[in-house]
Amino acid sequence: MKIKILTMLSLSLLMLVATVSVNGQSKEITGLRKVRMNAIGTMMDKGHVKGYYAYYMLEKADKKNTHYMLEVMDNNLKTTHSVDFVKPKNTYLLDGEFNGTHFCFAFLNQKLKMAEYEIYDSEGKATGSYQVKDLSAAEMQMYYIMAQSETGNQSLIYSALENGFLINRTEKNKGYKFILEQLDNTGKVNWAANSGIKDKSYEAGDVYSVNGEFAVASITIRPKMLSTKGFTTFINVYNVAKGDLIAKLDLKSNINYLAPSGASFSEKDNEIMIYGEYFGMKGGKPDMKDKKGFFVNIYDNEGNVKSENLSSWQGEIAKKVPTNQKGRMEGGRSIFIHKMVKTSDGNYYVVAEQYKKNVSGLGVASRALGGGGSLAKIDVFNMMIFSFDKDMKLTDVSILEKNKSAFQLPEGYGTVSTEKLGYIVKAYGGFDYTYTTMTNDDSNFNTIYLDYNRGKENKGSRFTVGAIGLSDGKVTESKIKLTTQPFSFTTLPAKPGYITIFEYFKKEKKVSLRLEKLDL
Amino acid sequence: MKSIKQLLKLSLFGLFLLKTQIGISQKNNYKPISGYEVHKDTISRIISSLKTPAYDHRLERKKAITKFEEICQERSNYIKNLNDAGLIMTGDTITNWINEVLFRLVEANPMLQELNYKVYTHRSSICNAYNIGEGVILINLGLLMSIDSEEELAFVLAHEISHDILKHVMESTKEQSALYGDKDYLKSLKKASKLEYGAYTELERILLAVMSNKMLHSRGNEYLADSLGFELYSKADYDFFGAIGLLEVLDSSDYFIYDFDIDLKQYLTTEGFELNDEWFSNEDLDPIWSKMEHLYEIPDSLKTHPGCDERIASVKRIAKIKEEVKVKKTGSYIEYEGIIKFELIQSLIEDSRPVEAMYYAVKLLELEPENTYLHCVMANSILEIHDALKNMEFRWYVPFPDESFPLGYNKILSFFHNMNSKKLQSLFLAYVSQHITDSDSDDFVTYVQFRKRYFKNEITLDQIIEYEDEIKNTYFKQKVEVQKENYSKNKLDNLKNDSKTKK
Repeated sequence: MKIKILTMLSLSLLMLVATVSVNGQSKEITGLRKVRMNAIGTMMDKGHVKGYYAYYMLEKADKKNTHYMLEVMDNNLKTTHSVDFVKPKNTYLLDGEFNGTHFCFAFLNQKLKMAEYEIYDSEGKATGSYQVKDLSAAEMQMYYIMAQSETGNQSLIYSALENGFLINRTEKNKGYKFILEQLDNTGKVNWAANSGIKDKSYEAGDVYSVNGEFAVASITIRPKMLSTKGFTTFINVYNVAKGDLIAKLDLKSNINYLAPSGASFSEKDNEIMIYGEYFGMKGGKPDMKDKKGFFVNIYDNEGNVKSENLSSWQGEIAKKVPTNQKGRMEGGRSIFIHKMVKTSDGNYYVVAEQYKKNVSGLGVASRALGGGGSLAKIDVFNMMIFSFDKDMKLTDVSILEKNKSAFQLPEGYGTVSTEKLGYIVKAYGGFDYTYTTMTNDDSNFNTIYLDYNRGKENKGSRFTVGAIGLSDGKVTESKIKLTTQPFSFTTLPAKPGYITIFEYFKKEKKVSLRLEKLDL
Repeated sequence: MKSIKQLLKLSLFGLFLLKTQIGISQKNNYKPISGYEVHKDTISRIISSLKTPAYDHRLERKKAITKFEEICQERSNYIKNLNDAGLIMTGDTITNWINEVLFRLVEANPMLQELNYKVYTHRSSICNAYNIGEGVILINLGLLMSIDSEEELAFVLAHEISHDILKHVMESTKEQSALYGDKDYLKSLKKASKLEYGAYTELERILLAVMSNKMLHSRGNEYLADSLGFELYSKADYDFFGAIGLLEVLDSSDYFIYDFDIDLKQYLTTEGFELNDEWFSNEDLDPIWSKMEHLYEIPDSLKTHPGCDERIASVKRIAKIKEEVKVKKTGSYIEYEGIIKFELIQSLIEDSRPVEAMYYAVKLLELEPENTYLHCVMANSILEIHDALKNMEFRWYVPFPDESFPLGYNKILSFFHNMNSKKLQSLFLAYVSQHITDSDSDDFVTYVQFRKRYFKNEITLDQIIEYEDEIKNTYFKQKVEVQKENYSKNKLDNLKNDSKTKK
């Protein structure tokens, strides 16, 4: 017996920042003046989405400080915690993670030149913090770019489950050194690991995978800060509890040159899978023009090789590509391996995307007008799924067609070797692949990518979200066409069978976050 | 103009006839009530009276007057929209029964006899009743499902009539509008929004203070409506237990009227489609960390209604009752209970809430396993979710399972979350083949059979048009129309693809 109340809230609601949860599967935040696409992020653990966070400014608290709101949502987009706090103005959220009991958020405090890691328990109560002070100009710049980045695909914090969190950073010390630190839930640093190189070097670390026991990181060493040649890359496996270096994985071979692009764990079988493209050798040096195929090396927990597998374009792969799809393989395209997963039935799946370096018309035109920009671009083509049985025998190759998209290479990267191009495209968010998640029982996976349709016949957005998964053991695909027309949008990882779409509507001063079910 | 007494007397004979018809048909196949539109003249009068109510607001400021007029316009539009959507029932079995009860109240209370109340059934499953103003009262099907006796309905009506007598709706509108002309309030909002520092905190403080004051007033009005309502109710010789019973119903009423578990697999098992146990699992659907309930609780200061315990205590004080009250079901309610249940399901279907419709249909299938209407509801729910998946509208139809939902409902949600459109299509075809035959010329059966033929590619455009002509129910007619458009679009796409291939 409630009289319909037409509230007076509409009078002043627009002046406020307000979150409106339409239902359990969507959320809108209105009244926003400016939105950075990375203000909303995903908390993931071993390929499973645990939840999301949204960070936005409420008001200026005083001359020096700003009042911020940090909203934590579960994997159904339901707000579970809201923490509002006052921090010095120009404080940016860099990353967030959940380790099963605690949340860790990284902030850049621009004024104090400091990175701050704050830890909260599942009730939203602060349990500890850790600060990295006196950041160098280069570090500040790196964090600032990360804070402003709209792709938000770089991570600083990793869940180490009962061992707290791992954080990955770079420190100015005889060049720049990679550091991996373990924080417990009170913010105490229990161990820190580095490359072990004492001479001057410029290092960049990429943490491939972390679980409660191990961390796999690739470390790339450059002789000079901006050098684009002469890289060396090695892969270290650390014990998460103590920080001991368990294994330094050797990928050297006299016949082939292996260029890793990632690593995954199989928790059930205690396996570490390292994968990437492989090339021929000429005169004892890698011949990057001789693209042979891709490799998958599987190691046990102690770094011992369980199996080494090469799949060559001309051999195994060519035999498995269906005749009607051969055309999609031609034209000297490379592949970038985004992810490798092992399903509960023991089969392996490699998720890859085709790309090729081409001359950029835009870059040429820009140069002709006296501007900058690289003369090269990367054309990104189809998605590929390579299916292997439990003995790592290639059983199927699926080529999932999508529209070609182009990525303009930043200036100075035009001459980078093919093997590194994939990393650069990945770092700048140039691939259409977005993420892969696993079902809780690891019986299936979902790979999500974006497809841009240039046709004029489409109403609304020209973006289509593609989803790949398994149905009755076969690789299958579903496409979802976006109907809204946001100013910008991105997809975030979601629980199995779903995608999270984050859209920014500039005119309406609002962002919308929603879970869409995949028809897989 | 005929008085309410005369109108009610006229409708009683028709009501008797209708009741008999439904009593028979329900056993095999329920036919939803149809043809209940409010008469054009009546709805025009209501719309016009809500737009320009006979109420002297005495507002002085222009902004406040404009706001008052806006709210009245919104209210008038609300009724118009409900009527256009076919959500207001009148002249039907249920609404006639409600008016019968109203008649008893009016007869017993001379003060009501000069007033012209217009009470309708609102096709909504939410447990609620509304006083829109100007004597227009809507009783939701969801509330009618929740109550247990005629007495409880009488107290609902007495309470809503009291709001009208006490001018609560218009007074509340006036207060709300006055705020828009309140210079001090507007000035404080403007000042707060321009604050360089702490603007959000200050705005939040001002708004919460205003809201809290308004809600305090609203809670006071509820006590007054209970008090006057109880007086009107008692004069009609209704036993006090109905008033207490209603407040108890409201206290325990949840979004779901029934809370039960179901063996969903048993109801969906067919010969033509094998169901996998994994599809009934909700393993991947549970939230990762526990819900923080306090975030969803509305603070007492912002509640529009006082707690039901307090209201029960207040009514008991008025009725001078100290002992425990036992609620009884009375005869007249039992007669209508069955129809209300079926109509509620139909309203859920028409309100595009197929999962809830399926949940209640399963409950009724326990009692009437051969009921064709209920099997059509099951098939239609599968179909609706299939269409939602195809149209990227799944999230509007199927929420995630939640601890606060009944177990049986969560099972249906989990099942649909584990499905894809291909599997749902196969399930639909198998279900229809097993449970629904063509023998009945009912609109619902015709629609379901049409979709079956459509899926099987056994249909031409001319045949779709024939179905469109045959089906009289507006809801199902619109559904056929959508498929007609799809059919034409698919044909066009196929032609385009063929021509591309030839090139």
